[in-house]
Amino acid sequence: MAGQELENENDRGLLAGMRAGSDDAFSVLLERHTNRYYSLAFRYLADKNEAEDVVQDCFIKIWVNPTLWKEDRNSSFKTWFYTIVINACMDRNRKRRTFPLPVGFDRDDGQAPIDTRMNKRQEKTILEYEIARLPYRQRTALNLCFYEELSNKDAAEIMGLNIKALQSLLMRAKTTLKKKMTIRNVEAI
Amino acid sequence: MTYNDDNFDNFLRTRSFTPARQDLASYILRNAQMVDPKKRLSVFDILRNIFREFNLPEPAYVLSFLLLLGFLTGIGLQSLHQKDNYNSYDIYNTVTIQNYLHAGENVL
Repeated sequence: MAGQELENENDRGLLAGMRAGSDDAFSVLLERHTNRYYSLAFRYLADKNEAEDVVQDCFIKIWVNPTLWKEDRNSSFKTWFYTIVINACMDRNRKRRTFPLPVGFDRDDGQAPIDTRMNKRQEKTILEYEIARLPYRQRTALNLCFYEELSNKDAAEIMGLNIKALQSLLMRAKTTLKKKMTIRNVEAI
Repeated sequence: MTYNDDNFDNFLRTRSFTPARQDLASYILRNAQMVDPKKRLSVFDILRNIFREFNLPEPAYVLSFLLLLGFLTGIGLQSLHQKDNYNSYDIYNTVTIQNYLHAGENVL
C-alpha cells in the first residue's frame, strides 16, 4: 500500500497491514497516536523518560502481536489502547519510588508547613503529589476527562463505566483535591 | 481559605507537563524493528495471551502454576520411585548370579 493511502487508512486497516508484516502501517499508527498516549502516560508518571518507555513498551507489544486487538471487539483500537497504556502506567507506579514532596511538607498529616507561603513550583509539586494519591478510578477520570479532554462517552468506555458514574468520579476527584489543597494553604485556589 | 470552581480548574491546569521528544514515533519504530519477528513471543507472552484471551483473573496464574508444579512433582516422584525399585532389583539379581557362578566355579 502506498504511503498516502496508508495515511488515509483507519486504525483497523493499519492493524491489518501490521498483521501482514507492514512496517509502514506501524509507522503511520505511531505517528498518529504516539503523542496522545505519551501525554496520558506522563499524567500518571510525571516523568518524561518513564512515560516514553511505557508508550514504547505498549507499542512494541502491539507490533509484536497485532492480534492482541481483536477486530470484533466493541471498542475502537484507540479506546482499547488507552486501557493498555493506563494499565502499564499503574504497573510502573506500583514498582517505583514514592513521589517526592518539597522539604517541610509532611506526607502523612496533610497540614501546611510552618512557612505557609509556597512558591509556584512547590504548588505544582503538591498538586502532582495529591493527584498521585487519589484513588485509581478518580485519578483516571481526572486524567482522561480534564487533562486529555476526552469526551465523557470515550472516557466512560475506556473505564468500563456509564457516563453518570464517570461524572461522579470526576467530581469526587476535584472535591478531594480542593480539600487537600485548601488544607495545605495553596494560595492559587 | 475559600475557592471557586473556575479558580480551581485554572489551578489544575497549571499542572506540569513535559512534551515528549520530537522523534518519539520514529524512535519507537527503530526499536521495534530490532525485535526479531521470528522470536517475537516468549513462552511467558504466549501464556499471558492465553490468560488474556479467556479473561482470567490474576489468581488464575498462581493456581495454574501450583497445578503444574504439583503435576511435575508427581511425575518426578513417580519416576524416582520406579528408578529406585529397578536399581535394587538389578543389584539383587547381579549378586545372585555372581554367587551362583562363584559357587559353580568351586564345584568345578
